[in-house]
Amino acid sequence: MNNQIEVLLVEDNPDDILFMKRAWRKCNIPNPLRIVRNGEECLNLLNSAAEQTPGLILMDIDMPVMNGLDCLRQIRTNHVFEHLPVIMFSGQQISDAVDLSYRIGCNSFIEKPDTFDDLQHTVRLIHSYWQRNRLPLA
Amino acid sequence: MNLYQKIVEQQTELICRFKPDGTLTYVNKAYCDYFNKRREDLVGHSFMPLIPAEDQPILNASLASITPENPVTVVQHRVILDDGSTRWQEWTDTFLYDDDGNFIEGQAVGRDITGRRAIEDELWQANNTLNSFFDVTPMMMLIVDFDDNVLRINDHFNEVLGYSDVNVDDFVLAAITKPEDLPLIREVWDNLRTVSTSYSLEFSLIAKDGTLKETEWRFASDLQERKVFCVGRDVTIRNQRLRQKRIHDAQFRQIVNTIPDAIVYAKPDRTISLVNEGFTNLFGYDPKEVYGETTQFMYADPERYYQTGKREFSGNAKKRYAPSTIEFRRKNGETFSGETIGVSVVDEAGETIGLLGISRDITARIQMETELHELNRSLELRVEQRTEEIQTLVHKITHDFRAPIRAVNNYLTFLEEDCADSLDAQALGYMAAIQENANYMGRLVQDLLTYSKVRHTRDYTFAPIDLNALVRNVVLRTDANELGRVEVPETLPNVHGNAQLIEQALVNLIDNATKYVSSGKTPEITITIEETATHWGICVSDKGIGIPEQHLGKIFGMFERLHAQNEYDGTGIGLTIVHSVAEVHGGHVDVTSTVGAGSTFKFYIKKDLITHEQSN
Repeated sequence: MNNQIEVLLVEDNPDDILFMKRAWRKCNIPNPLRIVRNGEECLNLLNSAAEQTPGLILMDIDMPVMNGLDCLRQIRTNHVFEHLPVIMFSGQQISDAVDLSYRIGCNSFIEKPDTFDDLQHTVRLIHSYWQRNRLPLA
Repeated sequence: MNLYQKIVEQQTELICRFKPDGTLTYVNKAYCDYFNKRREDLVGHSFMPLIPAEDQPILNASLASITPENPVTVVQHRVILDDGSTRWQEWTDTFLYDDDGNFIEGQAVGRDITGRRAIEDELWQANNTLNSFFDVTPMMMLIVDFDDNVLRINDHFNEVLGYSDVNVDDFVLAAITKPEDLPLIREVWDNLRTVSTSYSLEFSLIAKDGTLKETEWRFASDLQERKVFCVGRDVTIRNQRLRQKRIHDAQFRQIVNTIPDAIVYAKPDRTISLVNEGFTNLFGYDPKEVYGETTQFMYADPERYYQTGKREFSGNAKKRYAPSTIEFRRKNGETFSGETIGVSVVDEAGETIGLLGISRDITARIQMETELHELNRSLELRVEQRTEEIQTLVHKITHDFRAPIRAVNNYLTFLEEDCADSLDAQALGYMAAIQENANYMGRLVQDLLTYSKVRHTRDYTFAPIDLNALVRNVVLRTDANELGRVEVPETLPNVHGNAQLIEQALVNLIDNATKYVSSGKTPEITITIEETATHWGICVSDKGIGIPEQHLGKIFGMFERLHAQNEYDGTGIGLTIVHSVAEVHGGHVDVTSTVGAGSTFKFYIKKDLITHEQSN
């Protein structure tokens, strides 16, 4: 990932937030990891002129107030953010959720790993993939 | 010729005189004319040659019977005429005697009685014939006079009643009549004595053996002769049969009327000749209203009357008992659905003599069936809803369970990474136990999710599967080949099914075969294919620990485990999934096993599976 871009984690579960932060640190990911608690907070952040627009969003599905799918739909129907890369990062194994996510327009769907080793591995993969990935200018 | 002579000459009766030896001394003209002879040819000759030889003794006897005290005799005999014909004559002979009583001369007056004799003969013959009838008739006959004296009884009367030798003089009909019937007979009898008329009547007579004989009679009276002629016959058996038939008819009528179905019997032209009470109840018509009518009025749609006629009652229609449903119309105009059986009734020669229709109102049944159908549908719908709810719940549980399991796993890792130095051996031991349980719970949730998917997915797509590729792929996916040896046949057939499910089932079976071996032994697994007429059987055999026979029946059940967790790892869901996969493929599972020698698991899938679509 480009050193400048910020990664936004949309996640309500404090454990998962803790795991992601630890994995981020353990893997020495240089990009800042910003955290919001649900879809609504995510949209507020994106709409706020004061805030920097994130370069990548990691989005949980099952969240209170506004879930990940609704949030993704809002992002994709907003011509300012429609191009933002969104990785659905979910504990949901249901194939319907996978299908629906891609149909709405996620860039990737990753199942939350069961062990911390796997999580670190996943974080490294995401980092190295997006580091090489060319993104349109925000 | 004196006046006396003249008178004699002119008599139409034959007159002659003769000597004791028969020599004629005088014949009148009528005599000559009768015999067609001249007087001189007759006088001076005996009359005997004129009489046939067989009648001469009769005449002689008659003449011999004449005495001076009783000098007149009447005799009938035949004579032979010139032309050879024979005729009957009746003569009154009078003899003249002298004072000494000596026969001097006979004088005879005769006339032709051939005609009378013929009539008498005929009468006699007729009487004879009547007598014959009287004797041979199979009817009982009596002749009784007006004073109740029995004049004649025929043999048959005695045969019927067993009175072998009835003495007519002593016999009184009333004596053998059933006492209850006497007033009837007396009344008839009184009438018969007043007018010449006839009566038919039935009464019972007491036979000689004491039994009652029912008899039917015709009594006819003749006032002039003062006689009553009685002709009768024994109708005991006939009456018994009639009574039996009446009972039989009554029973039959009772049965027919007790049946709640409408029964209609029609002639071949479809006009009604009999209906039962069920018909009246169902259609509302009184039997009298419909007799002679065609059955058309029964049909709601007149066209159906003709169709039914063609189909059910046409001349070549076979006996059919399969009911059909026909719309009928009641007298009050209401229509209803009637389940109807129509049958042609045929005689012994196979000719249709009638049409029998039996109908029952199935409106209520149809309504019930519809309601039942709707109830079933709503139940199915509810089951579907419930199933969906359960599935949602399972997914929810699975998801929600995974997060804490993941958290437990991760925190254990952090404990180890961050605090290993400050933990003693006991704490590390507890941590290992926590880890093991968390792992197990993770597998349990995973297996449950798999099972729920297999069980509740509605529309599986069945497609051709290359089993060669599928099986080899599965063997690679499991660690069976690293832990032991797996034998796969050179070629496996192409089957039809859902690849994902079959893969899952195979994975579970191979995992089991790898897992359940005695410690230290290498798993040996053989995969084979069994073909039946309808199914493919995929068989996984191992040389593992085997399963005791008493457990074979329950191993496919949910959460059935035969071993402690620390002995052999397992969730008790794997075989349940295999079972479900086989069911989805229209097949079943089977297992054979010997403890210590190994087991063979088979799951069968139907050969001719088409894309499986459950109705919604």
